[in-house]
Amino acid sequence: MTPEMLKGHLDGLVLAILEPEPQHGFGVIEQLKDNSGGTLDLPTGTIYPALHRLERTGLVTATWTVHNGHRRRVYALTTLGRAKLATYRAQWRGFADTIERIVQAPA
Amino acid sequence: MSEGSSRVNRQACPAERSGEGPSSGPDAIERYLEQVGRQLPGGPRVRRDILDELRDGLTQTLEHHGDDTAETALRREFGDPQQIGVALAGEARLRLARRHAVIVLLLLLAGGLGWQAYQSVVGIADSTVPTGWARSVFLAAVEALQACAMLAQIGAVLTVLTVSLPGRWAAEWAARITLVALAGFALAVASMLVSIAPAHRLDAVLVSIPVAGLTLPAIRYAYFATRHLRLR
Repeated sequence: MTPEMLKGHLDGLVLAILEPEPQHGFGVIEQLKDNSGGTLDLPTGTIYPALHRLERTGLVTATWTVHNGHRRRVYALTTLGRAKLATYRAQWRGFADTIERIVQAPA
Repeated sequence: MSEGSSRVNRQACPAERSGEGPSSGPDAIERYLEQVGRQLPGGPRVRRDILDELRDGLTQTLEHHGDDTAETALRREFGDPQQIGVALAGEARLRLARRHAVIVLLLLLAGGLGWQAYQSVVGIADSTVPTGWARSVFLAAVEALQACAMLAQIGAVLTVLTVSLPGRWAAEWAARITLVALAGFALAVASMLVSIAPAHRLDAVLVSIPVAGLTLPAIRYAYFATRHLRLR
């Protein structure tokens, strides 16, 4: 997989990771890695600008907690974020089906 | 899948900077944060929040991947600090621009309410309108003042609303309009002070003190908002 293939999908992927439960930045990147079987192994630092962008646009909320004496920022989906994720899923399925029909090897 | 092909967007790991040598985990984290911090805009709370969040992530990164020297492990696993700093700075600037536009809006609303209160309690005498050449200047300044106040409010609202839109050119223009309208407002107030009927000049000067107390900070914050949007 190339970085270009991930362009435009990071926000949707992060929203999907946050759907089951709130996560902090490092948790999101580790979850991405685990859920993709290690295929999506992004540099950890790249997730923070994405999370801040999602927070600014109202798709996630952030709250500070304290973990082992350190401040930790935990992100959770908002109602708007859940709606956006549902839209992203529908668009992705349509897109993936279309591409699959075109690029699949002839039987 | 091989290690090389399985990694997406992984940064090339630069060699440790010459002369620095291997560093302990906390030292490497603080050095990394210092490089990120150089890219971040002012605003102590925004900076502290961003760096605290990264410190937590960097600490966990070292705990999970600290098999190499700390500096190398951080750069390999977390990414290039300058690139991350630039990306976070862009986000921080958008937040600051929105915050400053909200402050401008609140100052304008406070000014508007204060003016309404002044009009209802003290009132504006007809004799404030001067005669002769000053009359047209005074009346034009009153018109300009009202128009600029309205334009500045619209600009500030639009800045807040459009700062999250893709491209952000609308927010940048809205912030510029706010700044220009506020400068026009200040100029109109000054013109009114100069042209008001001499008998009311002292009253006008006294009224202009709280007006300036609201207008000058509003201009300052509108300038900051414009600057953050331009530099994002």
